[in-house]
Amino acid sequence: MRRTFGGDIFFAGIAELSAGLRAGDISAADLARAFSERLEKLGPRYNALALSLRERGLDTAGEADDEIKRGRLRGPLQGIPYAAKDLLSAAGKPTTWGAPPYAGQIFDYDATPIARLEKARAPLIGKLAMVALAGGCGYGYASASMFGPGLNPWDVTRWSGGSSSGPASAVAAGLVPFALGSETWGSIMTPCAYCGITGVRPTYGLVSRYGAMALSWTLDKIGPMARSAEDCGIVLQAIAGGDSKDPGSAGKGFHYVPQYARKFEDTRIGFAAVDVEEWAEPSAQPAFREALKVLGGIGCPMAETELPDYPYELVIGYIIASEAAAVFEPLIAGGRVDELPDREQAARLKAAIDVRAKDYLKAMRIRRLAQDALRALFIDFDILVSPAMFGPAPTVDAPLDARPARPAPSRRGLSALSAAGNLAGLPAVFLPCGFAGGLPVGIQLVGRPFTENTLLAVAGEFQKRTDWHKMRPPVPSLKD
Amino acid sequence: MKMTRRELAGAVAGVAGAAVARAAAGPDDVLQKAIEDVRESTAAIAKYDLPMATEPAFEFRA
Repeated sequence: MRRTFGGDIFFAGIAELSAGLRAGDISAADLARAFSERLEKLGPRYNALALSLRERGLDTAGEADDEIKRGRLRGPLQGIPYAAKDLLSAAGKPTTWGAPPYAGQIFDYDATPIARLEKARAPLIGKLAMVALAGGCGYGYASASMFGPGLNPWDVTRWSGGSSSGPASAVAAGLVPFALGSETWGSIMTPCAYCGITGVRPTYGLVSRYGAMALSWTLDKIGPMARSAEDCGIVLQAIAGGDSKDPGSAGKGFHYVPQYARKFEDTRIGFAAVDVEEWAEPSAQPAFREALKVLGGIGCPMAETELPDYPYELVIGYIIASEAAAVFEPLIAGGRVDELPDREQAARLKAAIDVRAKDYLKAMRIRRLAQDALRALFIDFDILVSPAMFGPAPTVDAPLDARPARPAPSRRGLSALSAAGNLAGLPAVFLPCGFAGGLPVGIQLVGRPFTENTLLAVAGEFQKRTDWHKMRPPVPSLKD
Repeated sequence: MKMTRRELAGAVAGVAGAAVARAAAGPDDVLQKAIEDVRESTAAIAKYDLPMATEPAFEFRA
C-alpha cells in the first residue's frame, strides 16, 4: 500500500518523506516539483520567496532518484527539498541579503551549508526572504526588507518575525519541509516563536558560515528551521562540521543521537517564574506555565534561577553595531546605505561607524566576564528554559520597539537569555508551546556549548507529549 | 559599576512613546537619534568597572 503521509505530504516529517522516497511511493523529482509549485504560488503571499531555484532543485532531485534506484543511499535528506535564507550564496544565482544595494550580487560558489546539503542530495528549490542585512544594527519596522514585511501564515496581518522571516513563513505554511536560517541575536528564535515552528541555534562555530553574509564575525550562526526537533537534528547533522574556510569554525562535527544524551532525570533545568508571571504578556502566560509543567513531567529536575547580573543586551547590541559598521563600511561610506528600506536601520549603521576601538574592546571584555559567569551558572544546570518571545507576533505595521504598558518586572529572571546565550555562543532549541490570541508562542532551551543532543532530546520528548508543533496555519490551496 | 537591567534597557532602546515621536521625525532627526543612542551606549559601556586583567573575548571560541 502506498504511503499517505498523514494525509498531507506538505506537512510530513523528514523521516516519513525519506521512507516514502526509499519505498518508491514518491520520487524526489515529484517531491521537488510539488514543493516548488507550492513555494512559487504561496510564497509571495507571505513575502517569503526571494528566488525560486526549481531547475537546480530538479537537477539534484534527479540525481537523488538515480542514486536511490541504484541503492546508493546517502542519508535521510536524500531527495528532501529545502530552501535557504537569501543570506547564503548559491552558485550563479542572485544573493541579495534582502537589501536593494545588493540586488544584483552573484557569487560563483555555494555557501558551505548549502554545499553540504547538496552532497547529501537535498534539492535546493529556493532562496527565502529576510530582513535587510539580517537586521544589522536594528530596524524600526517589519517592512525593513526589499521583499516587504514577512507575513505570518497564522494571520497575514501579523509579522512573521525576523530576520529569518522567509524561512519561518515557508516552513510554517508547508512550502518546504525545512529551511536554513541564521542568528546573530534572535534571528532564528523570533520567527520560530512567531510562526510556531522549531529551530536550532547551533553552538558558535559548529556550522560553517563560509558563503554567508557577515553581520558580526563573533556572533553569526547558521541553523535549521523545521517542523520538529527531530527534523532539526537530522539537518544539523548534515550541515555541521569543521571548515577551514570559516575562521570561526570550531572544527567539530555533530551526530544526531538524542538517544545517547544525558538521562532526563540527570538533566537539570533552570527556569525563572518571573519570566512567565511578569515578563510575559498576560495572554501568553497560560501557555508558558503549561510548558514548564510538561518539562517537569518529563522527569528533569527543575529549579528556579536567574541570569548573573550583566548588561547582556547593551553589550551584544554594541558589539553587533561595531562589527556591522566595519563589515558594511563601503556601503555606509559610499552612501548606498540610504537605499535600505528602513531609515532607522540606515541611520543606526551610519551612527555606528564612529564607534572607537577601545569602546568595542571594552564591550568584548565585559562579554568575557559574562561568558565566565554563564559557565559558572551551567555548573548547576544543564538547560535554561525561558519564553522565546514574551508574547505573540505584533501587527505588521507596529513599531518594533513599542512595549505594552505594564508594570516593570520585579526581577530580571532569565529575561535576557537570548542576548546572554548569543554572547556566550551557546546552543539553543526553539519550539512552539501553545497559542495566545490564536497566534503561536514558543520557548527556548539553552545549554552548554556543543550540547545540542541534550537540548534536542528534551525538545523531542516535549514534542512527544504535546501537539503544538503539528498545528497548521490556515494555508489556502493552490487553486485559491 | 552595577546597573539594573531596566537602566540598561533604557540606554539601549527607546520606549513606545519615542516610537510614536519617531514616526513623525525627519531623516536628520532619525540620524541624530541614532547618534545619541550610540553615545549613550558608549557612556554606559565606559562606566562599567572591569578588572585590569580582563582580556576581550577576541578570537572568540564558545
